[in-house]
Amino acid sequence: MTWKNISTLTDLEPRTDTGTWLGTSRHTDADSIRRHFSMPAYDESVFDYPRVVPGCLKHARDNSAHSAAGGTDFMAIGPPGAGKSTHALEWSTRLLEVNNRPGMSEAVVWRGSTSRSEWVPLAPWATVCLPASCDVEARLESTNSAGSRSVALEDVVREVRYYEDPRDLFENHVQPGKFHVVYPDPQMRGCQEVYEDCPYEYELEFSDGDPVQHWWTAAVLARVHSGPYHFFVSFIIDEIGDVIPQEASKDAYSSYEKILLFRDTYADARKFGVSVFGYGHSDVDFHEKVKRKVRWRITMNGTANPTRASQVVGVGNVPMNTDLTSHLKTGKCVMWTEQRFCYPLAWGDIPKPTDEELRVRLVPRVPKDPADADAASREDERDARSSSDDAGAGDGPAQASLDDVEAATDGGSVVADRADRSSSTSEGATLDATGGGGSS
Amino acid sequence: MIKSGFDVEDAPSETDDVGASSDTTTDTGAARPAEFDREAVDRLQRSLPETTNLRPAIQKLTSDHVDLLGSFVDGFDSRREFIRWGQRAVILTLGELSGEWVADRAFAGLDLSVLVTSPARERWVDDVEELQPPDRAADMRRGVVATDLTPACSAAVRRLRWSAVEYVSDEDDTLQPDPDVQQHPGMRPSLTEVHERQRWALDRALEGFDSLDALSVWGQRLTEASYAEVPDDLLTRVTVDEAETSRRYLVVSPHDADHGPFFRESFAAEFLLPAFARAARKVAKRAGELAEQETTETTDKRM
Repeated sequence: MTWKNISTLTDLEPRTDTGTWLGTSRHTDADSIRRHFSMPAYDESVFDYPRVVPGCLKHARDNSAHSAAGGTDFMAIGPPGAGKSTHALEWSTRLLEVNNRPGMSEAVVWRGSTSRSEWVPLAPWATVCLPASCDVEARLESTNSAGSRSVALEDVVREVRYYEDPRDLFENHVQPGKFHVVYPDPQMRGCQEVYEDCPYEYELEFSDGDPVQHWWTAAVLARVHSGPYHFFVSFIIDEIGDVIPQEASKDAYSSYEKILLFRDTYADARKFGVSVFGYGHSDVDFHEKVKRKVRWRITMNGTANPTRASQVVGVGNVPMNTDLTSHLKTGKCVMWTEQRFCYPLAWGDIPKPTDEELRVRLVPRVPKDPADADAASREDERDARSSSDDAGAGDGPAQASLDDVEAATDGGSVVADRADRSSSTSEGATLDATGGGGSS
Repeated sequence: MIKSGFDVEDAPSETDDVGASSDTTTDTGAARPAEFDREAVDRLQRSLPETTNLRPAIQKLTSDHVDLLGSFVDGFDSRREFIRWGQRAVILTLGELSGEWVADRAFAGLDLSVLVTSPARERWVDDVEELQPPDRAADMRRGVVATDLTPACSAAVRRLRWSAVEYVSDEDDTLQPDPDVQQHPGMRPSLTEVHERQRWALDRALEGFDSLDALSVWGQRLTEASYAEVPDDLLTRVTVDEAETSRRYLVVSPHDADHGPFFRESFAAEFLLPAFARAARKVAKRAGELAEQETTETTDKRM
């Protein structure tokens, strides 16, 4: 049984005995994950066409890894239930296993989303990176009678870290050999600076209030053009259609221009040791500007693989002549390039520890614009006067929000104390379960 | 009426040489079996040159034709089985064998006495003395193969020859479909689909219906199975113009009329098979090709 004696996610024991955590070379996180989920060791010899696999999986600084030096990419298409998330978890594990070797190191960054938490099976090894500017409310939504309850993320994952901006994230928090779940900063702090320092020029601006998924464009851009470069980074982006939607338009948020920026970054990523692996339900979900740059593709079980180049944007040749994937079982796919395909590529089961859904909610605490801060302050004062509940006790007016009050009156949300946050691990950070008025 | 192409006694002797040859054949006529000589056919086919099958759809269609004609030479257990064979034949000949041809045979007693090989063949002649000996009946069926069926098969191959995909291998594309593992007529799945729908509609018609409502819905499904080639007013004629006949012979519940099976076979031969043949012709014209590969145990490549 993969998960023993786990009735709720807070029962999970963080894996702090691995070499990756302890800073030694033996028994890495990848080894620990593999053993926990009974994954066989990576075996390169089973693949017929190494330019497909391991070409996409194995990275190198030179041309020794079956594909061009640097990062790789793929776009995986599969209907709901095909096992995309499980594939992403195993792919993440393999990336850590294969690409952390003498002379080579790599980190995996999983796109965190407030609405999903498919990464939870890897929680005991996970480093969750959160924007330091936000209050964090983590809740476990249970499908049984237990209902919903607030938890401290630190009780679920191995490590929680708080970043200031994308550059700070990669310079100080993302570490090789580790699996990271990164939640984007809704206030886009530092994103505009990242963009202004990059060589691309578009009429666009990153600012507080932009759609939060725009942060990922800045994040990839930050790693590509600001480093650090001593280790590789692989981005795992589930529902990539959210980040680069096909229907992006020239709106007030410069969504279209940011797609172009993402495309340029995507094209440059390989040279800087950055890999981007995207998952979606349909080929039409993500923008064709990016699709044209994709080198590896995955068609999962339950949907027909293309057989003609005209069926896929940006592809000059499709190596499959027949439908191989429609009738494949869950957990199998075809991975292909314009020349060859690997079939059937399989992955194993990575069960969730419990049926609970972990939802992470981020609430910006400090408005970016000082004028907004004043307005917020006045608003908070009004709230304070209109409420007999001392929801903000112990916190400054600007640090309390309506959401905090709501959450607190729900029965005690966990609000991390910003005063104790810095660019470091949260170990030692005070988690104030009552400061938000939870005792009411 | 069926006339044996090998009937040397009836065949006009145009030259002495032919007559001499025929006489020789007659002398050894007992060598021809009453059934399709599969052993000899298999021997022949095993000697086919082992060349690549660049247009495997043609090989597949031809193989199906060999089976189709072999089953015709074998004969049929009943009129009903012949009609069912006719439905398969119109599909495999891509509609080149007309449904009317099948219907004509099904309505000719003497023809049926040759086509049916079971004791039931006696019912198709007024006097059992008129029955042909089995080997002679088989020869007459071979004559039909030569005169009517082989030309229909040839026409089908002619129709398919250039629309059959040519699989030319190169370094990146090594797919070379094996005709022996293909399932669909001419490697066209839509022909299998229409065949299965037609087979269902035909069998239901041969069995009869539990009620007029069931008959009515069957009529709609029949239109679908025949790609709307069945006469638009067929159901009207059946349920309104000939209501009494329909109730008596097509609706079998609670009891089937004495001549119910014969009526339904005649109905199917007259009205369904011609429409089915037209449908096969139309579908074959627009059908796409699917290359199936031999199901081999593929080893999962665990990433």
